Amino acid sequence: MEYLRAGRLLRVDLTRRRATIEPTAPHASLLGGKGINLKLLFEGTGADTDPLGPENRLLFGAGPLVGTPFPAACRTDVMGKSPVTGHYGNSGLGGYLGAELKFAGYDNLVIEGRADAPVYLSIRDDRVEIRDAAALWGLDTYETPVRVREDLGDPGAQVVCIGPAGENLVIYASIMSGTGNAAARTGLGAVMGSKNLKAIAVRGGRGVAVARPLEFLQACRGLLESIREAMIYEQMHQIGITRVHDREMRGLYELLGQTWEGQETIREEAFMQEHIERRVGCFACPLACFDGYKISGAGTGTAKCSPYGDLTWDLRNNDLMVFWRVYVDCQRFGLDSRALSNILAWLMTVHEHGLITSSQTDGLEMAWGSPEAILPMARKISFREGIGDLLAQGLSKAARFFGPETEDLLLMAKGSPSDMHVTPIKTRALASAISPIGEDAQVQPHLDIVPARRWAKLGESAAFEESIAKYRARAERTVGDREAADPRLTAGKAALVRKDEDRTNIADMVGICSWMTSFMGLPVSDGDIARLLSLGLGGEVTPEDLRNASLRMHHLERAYLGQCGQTRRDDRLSKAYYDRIRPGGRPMPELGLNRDELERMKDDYYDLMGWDRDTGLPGREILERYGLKDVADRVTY
Amino acid sequence: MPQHIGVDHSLCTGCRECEVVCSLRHFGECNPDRSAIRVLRKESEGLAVPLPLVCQHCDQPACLEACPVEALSRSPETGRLTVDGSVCTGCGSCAEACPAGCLFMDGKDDIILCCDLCRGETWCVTLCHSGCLTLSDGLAETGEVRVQRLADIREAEFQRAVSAASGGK
Repeated sequence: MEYLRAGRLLRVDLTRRRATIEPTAPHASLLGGKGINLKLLFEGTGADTDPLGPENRLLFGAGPLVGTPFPAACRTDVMGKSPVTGHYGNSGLGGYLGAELKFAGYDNLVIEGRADAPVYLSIRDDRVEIRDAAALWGLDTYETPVRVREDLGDPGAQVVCIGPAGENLVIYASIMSGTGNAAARTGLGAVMGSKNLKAIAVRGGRGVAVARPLEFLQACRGLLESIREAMIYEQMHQIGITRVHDREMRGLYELLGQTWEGQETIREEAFMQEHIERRVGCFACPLACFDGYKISGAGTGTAKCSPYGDLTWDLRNNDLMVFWRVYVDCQRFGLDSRALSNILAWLMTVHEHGLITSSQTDGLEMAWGSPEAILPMARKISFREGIGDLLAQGLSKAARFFGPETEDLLLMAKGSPSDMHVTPIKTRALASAISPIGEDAQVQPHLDIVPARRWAKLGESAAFEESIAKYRARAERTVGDREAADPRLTAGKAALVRKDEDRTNIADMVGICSWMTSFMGLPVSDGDIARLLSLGLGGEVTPEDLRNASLRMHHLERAYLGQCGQTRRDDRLSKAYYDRIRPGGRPMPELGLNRDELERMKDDYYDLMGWDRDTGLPGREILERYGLKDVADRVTY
Repeated sequence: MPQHIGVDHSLCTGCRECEVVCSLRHFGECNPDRSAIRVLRKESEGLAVPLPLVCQHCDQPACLEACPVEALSRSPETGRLTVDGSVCTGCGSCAEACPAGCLFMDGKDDIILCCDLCRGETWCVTLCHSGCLTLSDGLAETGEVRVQRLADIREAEFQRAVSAASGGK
C-alpha cells in the first residue's frame, strides 16, 4: 500500500474517449503535484505543440500532503502549454478538487485530445465517464457546478469548470470552482475550452493512507498551535487580508509615485466589514482568507487579496462597488481578473498618451478610473464582443493593431501581463524576468522591500544605514551576503530569488498553500513539511531532500522552456518595467534597475543554478546530477 | 448528560479538517466517507454554506428506537450511544430516523459510524480552527434540542431528501 500518495494517475483521451490508469511511482523523485505535472508536460508537449490544439495536455496534480489534515493541504497544480506566452503555462487553485482527487485514488490527472462536442468529465473512484455537456455550454462558473451535481445526483461532487471566456478561447480564461477558487494565470481555461471540456467533477471514497496516524495528528496540532501564535494570524483569521493588503497597496504606490485624486478614499477593510456575508476557506485551511459577499444588485461571490488592488488602485478607480461588479463578471465568465486589470490599465495609459480614440474602443472613452470603461470590459472580452474580440487574442496582438508606440506601454514579462502594482525593485524585477511563467505573485523575496522604502524616505544617511542594519544581518544569515539587503546593489539578489523559488516550489510540489509559509508571516517551514511527510510516508524525508526535489523540478522546468525555444534573451521585461520606481514622482533609478543590472543578476542566477550563461539553459551535466538523465537525452536545444 | 461535540455552524468555514481527522484517528486514513462527522456543503451563486453534522448523543434518541437489530446501545459508563459493529447490518434505519441525519455509513465497511469522542482527545475539536466544534458537557440544552436545531438548519439550507445522499454511498 502507498502512503500519502494515491500511487496512480488518470489519463483521459477525449478524442478516443478512453481513460487509462498508470502508476505515479516512476515520478516520485519529483514529489508530486507540480513536479509530476511538469514531467508529464515535458514528455507530451514541446515546441510544435499548439496550445489550443488537441495535442496539448491539460494537467491537474495534487501533491502527497493534499487530502491530509496538514494546514491548507488543498492545492491543485494546473498545467499545460500556455496560449498566453506560447510556452510554459502553470497555475493552481485551492478549494476542494485536489483533496477529492486524492480521495478518488489519483495523484494526477492528464487530459489529452479534444472531444468532438461539449463534454464534462466525471470521476468517481475507478468509474470514469465522459458525459454530454451540451446543456451546460454557455453557463457561467457559478451555475455550472450546481448543474453538474444535479446531473450526477451527487451534491458531494467537487467540480471545476470554465465559463464563457474559456468556451470562447479567450487566452486569459481561467478554470474555476463554483465558489471562487481560480486557476487564472497563463490561460489554462482556454486550453480546457479548446478540448471542449466544460467541467470536471470528482468524488472519491478510497481515501489517503497515513503511515503513522496518531503522530501525524499530533504534529498537525503542533503546527496549528504555532500558526495561531503568529502575530498576523488572529487578524487574518477574523478579517482576511483586507487591512494588510490595503496597507500594502499604499506602500507600493508610494514607491511607484503615482498619485491621483481620490486614492485616499479606497478602504478595503471598510468595504469588507460593510458587505461581508461570511468567511470561507479551502480544504484543511486554518485561515479561511476568502471574503464572501452577497451584495444586493451588485452580485455575489468570494474575493481575497489581489483583485481588490488590481481593479481599484491599478485603474485609478476608487469606487469599490465598480471593482466588485466587474470582478463578479470575471468570476462568472471565468476570466483572469489580473489580466483584465493589465488590459484596462494599458488601454487607459494608451488613451492618456493620445494613441487611441473612443472610436477604436466601441465608443468607450478609456479614461483612467472611468466606470463606463471598466464595467463592460469583462463581458466584452469573455464574449468577444466588439473590441473584446481583439483583446481576447492577447495584448501583443492588440498592441500590433494599435501601433508600435502602444507596445512600449505594455507591462509584461515573457508575454504574460504583469501585476500592475508590481514595483520592480531588483529582486522583484529579476523574479519576473526569470520566472518560467513571466511572474509568479508568490515569489516575492521580502528582504529588500523595506530597505527600498527606507531609502526612498531617508536617502544616503546614517539613519538609513541604521534602519537597514537588521536586514543586512538577516541577509547574511539567509543567503550569506549582507549586501543582498541593500536595494541599490545587484549583489545577492539572485540568491534571494532562488530561496523564495524553493519555498514556493516545495509548497507546490507537496500541495500546501504557500500562504502557510513566511510569505504571509506564518511559520510553516521546510522542516515542518519534511517532518510531516516522514510521518505520513513512513520513511525519512529531510529538508535537504525537499530542496533537492525543488532544484530537480526547477531544472526540468527550465529544460521545458528550452524545449519550447526559450533562452536567455527571453528572460526579459517589457520596456515599461524600467524607470518605474518614482517615489514622490521623482525617478529613483538606483532602486529600480537598468538593462545591465538585469543582465548581471541573470548571470548570478544562472551561475547559482549551474546553467549555461549564454543560453540560460541546463546542460547534460547538471541534469544528470539531479537524476534527469532521461530529460538530458531528450532535450534538443 | 453525556459529553458530545457541539456545533456552531455559523463559525464553520467548510474546511473539512474534522472529516479527515476523524477517519485518520479511527481508520488510519484520510477519508470523509469513513468519518463520523461530515460537512454538508451547499453552493449557490458563488457562495458556500457548510453544515457539520455529528451525533449529539440524545437522551431519547430516535436512532436507537429505529435500529432493528439493537446494534445501537447506550454505554453505561459514558452515557453515550455506541454501535456494535459485529451486529450492525448497515441498513441505515438509524441515520434515516435521526431528524438531522447525524449518523453516517462507513463507506468501506457498510456499518454505521457514531462519534465516540475518540475515547480520549477529541481530535476534530483540537484541530478545528474556527471554534465551530467544541467539546460540550450537554448541560445547557438537551440533545433533542441540539439535533432539532441542526435539523432546522439542514431543512432551511439543504433539502434533506437530496443531501442524505451525501451522507452515505
